[in-house]
Amino acid sequence: MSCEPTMLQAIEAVYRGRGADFFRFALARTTDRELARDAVQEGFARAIRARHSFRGSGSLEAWIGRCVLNAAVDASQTVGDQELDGEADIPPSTPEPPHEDVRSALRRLPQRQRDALFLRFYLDFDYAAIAETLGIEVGTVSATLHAARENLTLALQEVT
Amino acid sequence: MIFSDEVLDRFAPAHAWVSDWPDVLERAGEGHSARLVTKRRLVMVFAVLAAVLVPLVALGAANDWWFLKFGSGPMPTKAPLVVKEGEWGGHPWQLIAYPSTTDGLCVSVTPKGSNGGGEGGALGCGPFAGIARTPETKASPDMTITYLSGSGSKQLPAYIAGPVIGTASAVEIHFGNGEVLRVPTFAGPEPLQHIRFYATQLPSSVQTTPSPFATFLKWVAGLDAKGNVVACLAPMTAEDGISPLSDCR
Repeated sequence: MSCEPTMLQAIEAVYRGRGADFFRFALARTTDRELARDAVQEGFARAIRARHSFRGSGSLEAWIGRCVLNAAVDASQTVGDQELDGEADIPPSTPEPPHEDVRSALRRLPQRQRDALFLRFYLDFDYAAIAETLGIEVGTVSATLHAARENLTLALQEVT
Repeated sequence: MIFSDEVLDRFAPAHAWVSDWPDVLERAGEGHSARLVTKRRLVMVFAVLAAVLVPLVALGAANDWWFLKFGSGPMPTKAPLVVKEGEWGGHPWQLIAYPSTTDGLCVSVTPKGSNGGGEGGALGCGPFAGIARTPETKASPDMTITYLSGSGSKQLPAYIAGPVIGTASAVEIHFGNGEVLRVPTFAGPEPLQHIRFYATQLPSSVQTTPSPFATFLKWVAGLDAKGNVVACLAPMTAEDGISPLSDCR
């Protein structure tokens, strides 16, 4: 029996079970509902296309997370580099727009800290999964998250 | 402002997520039953059906049905129906169903009174036994049971719900942690009276976050009055949302 259907089904199981969480992560990353939805769809599609390269040495969710993150970056760049840390923000199309102070504070964070924070909060990734998604050492994740929270606290105090 | 989890919670709120696995497969070039309707074609369909859809959209707005207001869900062929209303942990919800132009039967759990945002809600669609196909309906076979679930949010606690064929008087849900939940089904309103539905809050012991290569749900089965399995979905082994009855025993 081929292992290929099992891998496809495993990706589908993650999609069906955690699609909403990946969407929140992508929404935080792109700040636009349509871009976020496209990033999730495209990210999972990329995971399917590249499933033969998944070695199984780490978390499948983290591997998919990397696909979705890359798709989110591409989606943002496609619309003119209007990513969160770009010159111009994409006007949020969410029913409840995030407070501008939060947006401004998050924009001040280094990209890696921001991504680590989003992966931890929206996807509940453990340190190993965050490290795998971002391609960093596991030992640096704790410090990255700590720095992100400290910097965000400081930034929020400054912008308010 | 002080940083807290609430800051991030508000930054990317738990919007209603509309899953569309066939679209993922199509993007990946895997769709052996390639989706018949692309976004562009949806726009064309919308143009043709605009006159019909305007009152439907107005109806949606009047009832806080986010999937019509935002254009997130497939177009309905008939006005969506409230199958059931209830309350989970003080959070009112509605179970809504409608036949769609492209994706068969659509079922949604929607927080009631959420100002139309649908946060915490979900929508799932697929060809379903007893639902008439349109020329645009995707080619995958008719399901006899399926589910949609929410992992818990401020608007709604974790839940599972879905349609099942009319001969099922109960639905048995087997979770990945070994727990089993059996819930009664209820009939849909006309013209969906030949389909039954189920909806229940998930016990807190059930983890909706799956571990790799696993899912929180092992299988969900429809049972007739004698306890026989009449519909089955085992997500990990199903093909096109279809499982043999033997996968639920």
